[in-house]
Amino acid sequence: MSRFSAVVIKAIEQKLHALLGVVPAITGAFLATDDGFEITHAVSGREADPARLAAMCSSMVALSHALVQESEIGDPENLLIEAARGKILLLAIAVEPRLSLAVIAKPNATLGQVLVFSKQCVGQIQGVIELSR
Amino acid sequence: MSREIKIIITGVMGAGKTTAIEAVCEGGMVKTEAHNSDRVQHSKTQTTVALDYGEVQLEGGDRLRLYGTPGQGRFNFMWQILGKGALGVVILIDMTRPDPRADLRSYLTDFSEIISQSSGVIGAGRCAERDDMTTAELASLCAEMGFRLPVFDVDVRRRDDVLMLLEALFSQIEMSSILQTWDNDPLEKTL
Repeated sequence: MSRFSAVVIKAIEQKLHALLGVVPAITGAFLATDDGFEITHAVSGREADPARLAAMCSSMVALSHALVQESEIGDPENLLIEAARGKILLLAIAVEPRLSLAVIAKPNATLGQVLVFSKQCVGQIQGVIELSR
Repeated sequence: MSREIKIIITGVMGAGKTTAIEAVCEGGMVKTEAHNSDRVQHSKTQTTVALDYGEVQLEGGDRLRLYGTPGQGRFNFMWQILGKGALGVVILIDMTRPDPRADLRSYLTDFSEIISQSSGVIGAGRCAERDDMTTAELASLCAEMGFRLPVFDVDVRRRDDVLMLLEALFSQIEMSSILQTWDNDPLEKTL
């Protein structure tokens, strides 16, 4: 049940690994469909089950969408969770089918750096997908 | 004093959970639907990925808060989250699926705690399209698993059918509440 060709997935995977390379405090990047299926991921250590994380990521993005609609502040772009042992950034990717990127970072990660490079990565993923069509 | 009663509506993908809440909910309903990319599982275009939410005001002043779960097993973490504090569960079964009994067994197992502590009701949909299985067989399965639950043949697009399910559930919640009061109050027992 692949949504993208192996070539596209490989190209996206390279972008995710590049993100981990440019910001060492980022320990994992997971790409998922909006209905909760994992597309691909890159990790630098031991991370959560990617399939389960993909489902949770889609629920969180959908809930944030419902919340911002209720608040009438437009479409959600990203969602940040700060925890004792790390940070999780969820970013919506405006392609069809809609995707989301979950970025997991160490607690000492510089938030601005994680946000800027993760957004850049989202743009690159969009580029890869659009180029493949 | 009016109460707020939390109810879970669950069942497989495409069983009609979102439709059921839409049929009875007053005011705006919260939906978290995404494009369904798994057309092998079901042909519908949209699927719930977090929750549906709607409210129903009852005549006595009580309010039902209805939470619809995602149907697919990969979202079972949401079942646990949504199940907290729930007083009853509506399980919707699609009788045109290959094995509705297996579907029911699975949901009864997952929601056994809420059902055994409070209440549950089964709504079987598309019964007319299935001639080798009846709602009585679903009731038997509930009994085999130790649950005495009513099973109704319903079309969740019809408001009256969904209200019937909710009324059956609400009656069980009321009865369960009375019995708990009875168990906890020795003075009541002597009266």
